Amino acid sequence: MSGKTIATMITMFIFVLFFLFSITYSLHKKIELKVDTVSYNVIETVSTNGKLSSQLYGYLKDSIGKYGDYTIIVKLEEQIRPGIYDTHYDTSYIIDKNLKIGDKMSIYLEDRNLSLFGRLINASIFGVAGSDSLIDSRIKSIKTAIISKNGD
Amino acid sequence: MGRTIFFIFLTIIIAFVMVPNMLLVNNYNEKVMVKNNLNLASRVLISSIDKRPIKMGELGQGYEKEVSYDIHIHRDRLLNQFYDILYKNLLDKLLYEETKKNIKAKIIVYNDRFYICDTLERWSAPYYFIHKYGNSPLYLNTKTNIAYYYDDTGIKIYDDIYGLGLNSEKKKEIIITKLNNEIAKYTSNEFKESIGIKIYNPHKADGKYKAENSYFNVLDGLTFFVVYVERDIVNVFDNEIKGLNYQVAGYTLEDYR
Repeated sequence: MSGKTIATMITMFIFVLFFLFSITYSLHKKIELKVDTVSYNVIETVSTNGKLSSQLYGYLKDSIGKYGDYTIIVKLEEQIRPGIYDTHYDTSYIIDKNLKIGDKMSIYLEDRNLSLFGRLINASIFGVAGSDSLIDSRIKSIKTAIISKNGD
Repeated sequence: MGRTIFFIFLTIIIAFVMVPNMLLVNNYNEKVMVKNNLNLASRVLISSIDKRPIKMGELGQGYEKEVSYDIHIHRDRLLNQFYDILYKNLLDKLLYEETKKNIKAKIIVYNDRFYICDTLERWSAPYYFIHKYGNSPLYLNTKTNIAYYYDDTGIKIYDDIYGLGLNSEKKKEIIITKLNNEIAKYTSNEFKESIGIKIYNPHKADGKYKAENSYFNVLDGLTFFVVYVERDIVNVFDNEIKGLNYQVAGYTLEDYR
């Protein structure tokens, strides 16, 4: 009798765990797509306008802030001559700077915390594996574009 | 007995609801991200243009004739930069190789011709937009309604397409058909299935046509676009489950002179 009860409990536990995996995975993927889309829209606007304006950078920060605590890294590769670039990471230098055709800009976003799915999967792994086996499932996005119009 | 039925019920829920839901979400994300990455990578077109000085011989042709001949695209530089930006948007070697493998054709469309690059990075000879006029081919241009042909003595004759039995809508339809026919050869699989790209003809006023075709137009300028074809076929108990992801992404420069 107790064996059957334990079997039912294990079955229920596995089902609930799988159910949670399924729901949190969908949420994780949806947030990943939202973050990626915001990043894409911003980099496409920079490419079209030739400038990362302070308003646009503010929009990026505000939009991303809704989905978590994100690290934002902006990289600018200024073309000195074809094939040779000067690289900058300082946002105070990059923001509102008029860019030239051929320059490249990258936006890298990384969540500082794990999503619910990440916590759940790591919690379940932690019981059977060492801490070295933890999965880094933080949401990340990188978008790079070439500047296609000189900034005004 | 009750427990067995309950167990079967849970298994069915997991196998037919949860797992497909996870796969669908994953598939949708991949589709959007691939499209976005290809769009960004296609923008390298602008930095691959060499503006050569106008040749005096071409100046003598007259107004709206030889309008595209002073534009030259470094096709190898274009590909290098395209792949460079594509990789920077993925930062994953395996994913990059997979994406690269699925790009079946890369196409540059000029005003009067186009080139196609295959999966082995070989550029085709130019495909001109040709319509048969009498016994000789008539060379069409996307930008103007002036076309040319060679007469029996080999002299190049320019004429308005309206005088040659065409109109703007028909001309654009010929160009769209030509593009579709050639691209289909590069995207066909072992079952001879290929992709027809819904290129927009602005002269067609039908609402349904506009709704279905208004996303892609190569007739307004210099265009670089790629055709991405991902076909995953899984066999489950002799049943084929197809996972298809078709994308056309590109960039058009309308004002490049």
